[in-house]
Amino acid sequence: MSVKVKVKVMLKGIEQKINSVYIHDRKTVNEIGRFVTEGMLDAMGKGLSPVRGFGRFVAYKAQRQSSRLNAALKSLSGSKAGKRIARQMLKKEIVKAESGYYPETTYIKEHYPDKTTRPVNLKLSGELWERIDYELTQDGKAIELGIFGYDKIATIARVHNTGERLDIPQRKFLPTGKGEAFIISLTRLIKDIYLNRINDIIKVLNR
Amino acid sequence: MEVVKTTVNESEISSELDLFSDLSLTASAKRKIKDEVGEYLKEQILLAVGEAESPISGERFPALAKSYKKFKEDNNLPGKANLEFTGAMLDALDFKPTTDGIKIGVFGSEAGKADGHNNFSGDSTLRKRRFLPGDGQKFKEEIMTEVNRIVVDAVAESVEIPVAEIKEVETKAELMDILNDMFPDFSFAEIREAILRNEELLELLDEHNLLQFLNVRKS
Repeated sequence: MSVKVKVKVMLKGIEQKINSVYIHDRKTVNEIGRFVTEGMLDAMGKGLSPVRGFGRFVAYKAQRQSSRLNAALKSLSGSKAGKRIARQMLKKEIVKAESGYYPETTYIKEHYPDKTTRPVNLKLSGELWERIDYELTQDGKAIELGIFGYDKIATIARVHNTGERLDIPQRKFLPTGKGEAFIISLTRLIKDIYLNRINDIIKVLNR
Repeated sequence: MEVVKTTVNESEISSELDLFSDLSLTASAKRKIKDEVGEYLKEQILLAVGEAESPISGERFPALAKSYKKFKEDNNLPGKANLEFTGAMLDALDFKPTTDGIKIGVFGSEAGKADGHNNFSGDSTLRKRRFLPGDGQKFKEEIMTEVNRIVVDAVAESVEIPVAEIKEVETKAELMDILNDMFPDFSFAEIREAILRNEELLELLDEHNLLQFLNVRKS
């Protein structure tokens, strides 16, 4: 049984006209789709969530484990001998963490040698990135932006976006939740695109 | 927007920015400006730093020393000056509201590291890679322009629109008088753009056939 995966967001065009001319023509809406998609990938590529209020993406597991163990190393207490033994054990665990968890595993290093621990960018093979796309709605007044389809990549995308799995932290890249929005840099970009369109309409009206 | 104060100590390195001390704004407009500008600057700093570039006018990030570049690459990190090793310092980048604007900086235990790069203290021996504006400095022009737009847009959203007066307008001069009263601290170009970005104002001016007075330079 296939599971419908919804990792999409609807961006509605401005329902407004100037002198009977709709502001959101197909060209403008297409432009918004293109620039917002590019802007999203730019932010994600630098470890920044494109969704307002979600900040930078949580570190990958290797680094989270390593940080946890290093913090424990710094806060050791007890006798000198006890601390020495604990320190040795923790250092071994740190080495294990740094090579035993994503993306520091042998498998990842062999098959995806370009994958780095930072920035956290949701990019391994690049498939998820390539699948981020947009479509105009039938009436041309809005776009649906996100991952289309019901396959493994769509599932991975949903898992990142929702944080529904306990072993994978939420790394939100689409504002699919109620009240969510893109980061200010992207919403300002959309305003600029509309501004250009409105300028064009006024130019024609003033001829 | 200017830097009115910089702070550097064990738990904070920040630049305090005056966004609107010379403007007459409602409390809600001020709150909105602080939030949006703060978030926008945080995003722009992270986006620039991610490219190993400074968001500060006149500043640049020198490339990593060869030995440190190799050290980063040996630790499975990109060998570029993106100020990210564990990511903790950039995670601590934030902003706080002040009376007339915000302060943007790194707060908490990562402040020392951030001063290593920004050198507000004058004590850093590292190559300067400034991502916060120091005294007398500004963000790059395109960032400053957008901050200004955020301020004007917030004014447009909060200002009381004299609908009855606008209905009576017949000439450009009459419209300009009204707009200058509504936006006393801004240029015509800034006012014009703010109107075009504001659905309510745009609709009102269109309804009364007044958009023709917002001249556009013909291409």
